[in-house]
Amino acid sequence: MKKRLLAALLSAAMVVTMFAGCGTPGSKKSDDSSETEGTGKKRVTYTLREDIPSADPQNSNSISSASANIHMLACLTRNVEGEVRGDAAESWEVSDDGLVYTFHLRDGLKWSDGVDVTADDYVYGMQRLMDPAEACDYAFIGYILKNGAAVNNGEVSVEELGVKALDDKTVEITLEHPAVYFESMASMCALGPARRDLVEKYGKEYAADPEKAAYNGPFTMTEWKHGDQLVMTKNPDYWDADSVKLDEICIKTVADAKTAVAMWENGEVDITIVPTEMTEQYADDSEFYFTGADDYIMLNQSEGKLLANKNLRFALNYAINRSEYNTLVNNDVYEPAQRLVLPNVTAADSTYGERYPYEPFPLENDDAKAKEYLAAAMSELGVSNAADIKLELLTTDTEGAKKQAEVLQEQFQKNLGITVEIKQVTYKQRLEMEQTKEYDMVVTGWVPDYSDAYSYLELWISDGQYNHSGYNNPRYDELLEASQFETDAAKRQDMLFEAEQIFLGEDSALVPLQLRRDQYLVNPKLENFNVYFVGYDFNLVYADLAE
Amino acid sequence: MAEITRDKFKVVGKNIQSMESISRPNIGYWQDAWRRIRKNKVAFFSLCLIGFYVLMAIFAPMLSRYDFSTQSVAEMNQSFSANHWFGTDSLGRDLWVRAWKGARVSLTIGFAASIINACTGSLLGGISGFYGGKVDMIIQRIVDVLYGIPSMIVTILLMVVIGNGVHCLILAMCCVGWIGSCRFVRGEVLKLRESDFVAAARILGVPDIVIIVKHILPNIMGLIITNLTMAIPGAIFQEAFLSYIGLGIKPPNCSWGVLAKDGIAQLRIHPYQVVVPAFLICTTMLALNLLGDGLRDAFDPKLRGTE
Amino acid sequence: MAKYIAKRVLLAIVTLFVLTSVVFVLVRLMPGDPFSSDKMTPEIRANLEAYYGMDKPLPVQYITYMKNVLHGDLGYSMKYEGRTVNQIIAESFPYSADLGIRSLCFALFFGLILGIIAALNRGKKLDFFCILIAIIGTSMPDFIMGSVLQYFFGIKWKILPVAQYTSFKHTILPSIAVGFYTLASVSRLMRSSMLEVVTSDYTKTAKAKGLSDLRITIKHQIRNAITPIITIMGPTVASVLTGTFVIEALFAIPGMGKHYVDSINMNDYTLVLGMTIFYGAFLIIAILVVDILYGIVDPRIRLSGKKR
Repeated sequence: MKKRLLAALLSAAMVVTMFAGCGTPGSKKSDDSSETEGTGKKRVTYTLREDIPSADPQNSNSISSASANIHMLACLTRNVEGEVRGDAAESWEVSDDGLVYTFHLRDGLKWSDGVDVTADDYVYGMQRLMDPAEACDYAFIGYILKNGAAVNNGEVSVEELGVKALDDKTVEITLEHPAVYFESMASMCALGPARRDLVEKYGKEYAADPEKAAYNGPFTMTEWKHGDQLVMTKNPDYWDADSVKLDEICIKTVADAKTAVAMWENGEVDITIVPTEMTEQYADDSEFYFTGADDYIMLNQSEGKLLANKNLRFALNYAINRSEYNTLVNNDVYEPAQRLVLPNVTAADSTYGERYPYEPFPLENDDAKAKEYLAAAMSELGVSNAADIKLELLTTDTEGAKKQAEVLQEQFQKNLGITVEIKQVTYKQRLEMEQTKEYDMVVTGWVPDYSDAYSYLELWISDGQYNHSGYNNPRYDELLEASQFETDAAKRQDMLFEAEQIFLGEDSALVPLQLRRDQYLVNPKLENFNVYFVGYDFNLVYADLAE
Repeated sequence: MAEITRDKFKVVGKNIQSMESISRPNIGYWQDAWRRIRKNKVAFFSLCLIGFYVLMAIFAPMLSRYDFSTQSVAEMNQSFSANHWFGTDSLGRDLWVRAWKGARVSLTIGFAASIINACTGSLLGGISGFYGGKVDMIIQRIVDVLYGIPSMIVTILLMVVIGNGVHCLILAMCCVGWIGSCRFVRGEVLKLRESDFVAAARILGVPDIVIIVKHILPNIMGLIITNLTMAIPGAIFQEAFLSYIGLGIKPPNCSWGVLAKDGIAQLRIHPYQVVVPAFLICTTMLALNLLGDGLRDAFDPKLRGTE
Repeated sequence: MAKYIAKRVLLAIVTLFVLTSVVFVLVRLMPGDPFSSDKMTPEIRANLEAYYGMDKPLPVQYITYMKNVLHGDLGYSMKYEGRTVNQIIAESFPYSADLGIRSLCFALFFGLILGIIAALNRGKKLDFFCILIAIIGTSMPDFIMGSVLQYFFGIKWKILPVAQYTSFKHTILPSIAVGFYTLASVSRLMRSSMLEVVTSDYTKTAKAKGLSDLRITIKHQIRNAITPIITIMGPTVASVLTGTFVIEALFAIPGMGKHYVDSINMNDYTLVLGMTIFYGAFLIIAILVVDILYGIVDPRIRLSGKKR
């Protein structure tokens, strides 16, 4: 017996040493942050739950891709916490009707492979975005360009797009309708430059690896181990390289948020987001930032559906206890929402929330009012027992979605006495069911593409692409249409606010739930870390690590 | 002192029947197994524990004054207390009730899916191994194909067709779950097919069905049962995994997998929320496995009559 | 033997072909499509469908796809712009395989030892102890096991790294977390079949001949008892080597497991199919090897399936 044990122990020792001997696939190139610290490089590492799906500026179809790309590309303008600065463009003029923008590029701009940056790169970028053959997900961004939609639908050729290079240094952009927010949109990488020669060379694989693209931004991509990490290194040829203090930015893919937080505690990463369950533990070390995402229950009010009944929709809105919901679902990390438009968006010379304070629905449930509306709805529907009103609440299988649905179901059932069934499906199935309008209520949300109330309101135009609720109000449509051609900023905002009032106050067309916030854990030494709620998550271009 | 005389005796003659009969009670296969399982303290205790969990799953949710889905902001994330024996979860729901409510789902899925799988698998595996040749080849190729189909796709498709719920999960697991025991039983049968007693039976002209039932089945019963007790945890885990990626049962209903998943999210702040489902899952698995070992010994004809 | 193997390889190809065809149809039956998102419009979707050749009739798509597969081209992923499925697999498989091999070594080594020790000491305390370890392995879902290991060793005691996969130290926790379940199955099966072997005639004969216990165990018993382990090894090797979603996610390992789940969730048809073909081929090879090994390890089994 003893012999046997001894043999076992010996072989165990052998196995362990054998393990220790062989390297791991990732260890071929050792580039741990600890090592770079020794060399005095300033490196900032942040985590993403999922690797960026693409680094191709026109094919970036997620905020995380866009966030990475703003570091690697110089678009015409640069958005720093909402303030628009010239980036590749030194200056620009707008025509009086607000339709034609003329951008003048700086002198001496270079791509990372030494080629000069020309106006044509920007023109080509936008043409590429709209080219139906390129099939870019985010082509809708370019619908604001003259003939944008027509080009994308293949009705006219890309040359008809309202973008022209007047000479090597001048880009002229014509819009479909005036838009005060276009200057800020010009900072989006989807409208950024692309290299015609490289796109032709690499085809579909353009920008899929560092060597398959060129960069003209503050950083260049130097390494991309897909699914693992992406490294960007400072670009000394960037025109404003003096303002760029960091040497490297590293994006690590860490699927589990708790793991990412543990890595932050060990100092392995500098920036990460706290999962809402753990919010209290890090209350002192973290900052909250709005992500721009606005979550609500979309109500299917098409004809024949129960929720076509306006009183029932009002009953739902008054039955929700938003503050309790917020505490239960996300530990008060998010903010309860009472309206549709994020208050932070720009409106003329202030923010929308300050200019138009509005609380159509209470923070806590108003049972009396809810019951009143319910009674009215029941008599209209010819139902005598509230429990006979059966609504299906559609939700997805993502984290948190189940919790949301459970809380909402409980609140509706308790406060109204109606019956709510939860239907949990995959994300893709939810989208399909929304499109075919096979639902009663669905928890969903919207992330705006530009800082303007219109971004939230355009969804609900009666024939809007994204309007899967069946909402249809001609007055609403008219107001939004008119706002597109109103050049007076203040008047335009008034129109938009009026539309929001119709949408919520008169029609109770959806149930606002929450405004999402991210709780960031940031290395205390990191300075000038910018977070913004439109277009990108954060900006490290001007960030610095204190010694 | 009475005198013994001849007339006190009488000749009973030869009774062939009684000579041939066995005086001790005849102990059947199952009786013997049951007798041995009772003797095995560990296995018997495990059986009792599982019985206890089943009873709790049936009655505890009925008897508690809390409802499994009632939420309360005031009672969020409370640890063990006199009011809430297992504490409350992040929505302020009583975990005692939820734990037993979850037991219903998990145990139902575990038992139903693995028993169905064991039966299907053994049957097909037995046929495949016993007959060999073309039959074997066809069944094994079907197995290979089914093995390769991602079970997630099957689950998602079934969810679309019949909606999410316990029955959907069981069905999804049954679609591909039998493969393991099929391959396993086939391997065993392949081995037994060549054994002397099967050869002897064949020479005596015993029909195939009798060979399978009388000679092969008892010999592999032990292994099937061991495999079954390991398949139950497998099914419960599969459910937990599907819950983990969000393809579980219909909320607000829950299973141990759902509770464990929700608990894991709170591991660093409210560890008790994972302790409860983890403890229940672990003890159930422990009991099932120990019972399986006991059953294995009890059913093994080679060990019959020993001890 | 050579004829047998040739036949099996041919069959494997047919199986793979059937599998691919079945999954090709199944993924398209799944709700939704690869391009839908909260901001997708019908026009852009039409462009994307044309881009990926999905505007053609399904049979045409099928033939094109199969042709490409024959040339070893699994196509472009629909989620990861500009990345081919071949590239994705080539990049993520080494991680999964590395983790898989480590966890398998761990599981087999300790599993066999535990099983053998348990069987040789049947009914004694050592037996119970070994079985207990084995059972603890089977008793915890991997996400609990992984989280708990990570919490104690990585976060609380800070003995081992929390996540990532860059050095030997990084591999310990995930290997244990992945391998524990296999360890448990291996040791329990080994115990079961060892018990059968221990009471067999050839063991008695060997004993009667005066062979030492160690020799009997190594020379006779293990070789005979190991067949059931080999049976479960085929599928286990295939599934362990091609990645485990939960553990890879938890320890931030860029392996294949994530792609299995994500590609299905995102309806990334080409990636799902590529993964299935890769996994299917792997599995079929593993099973073939197992069947051949069977013949080598257990001389009683005749593979030809000749009847009577």
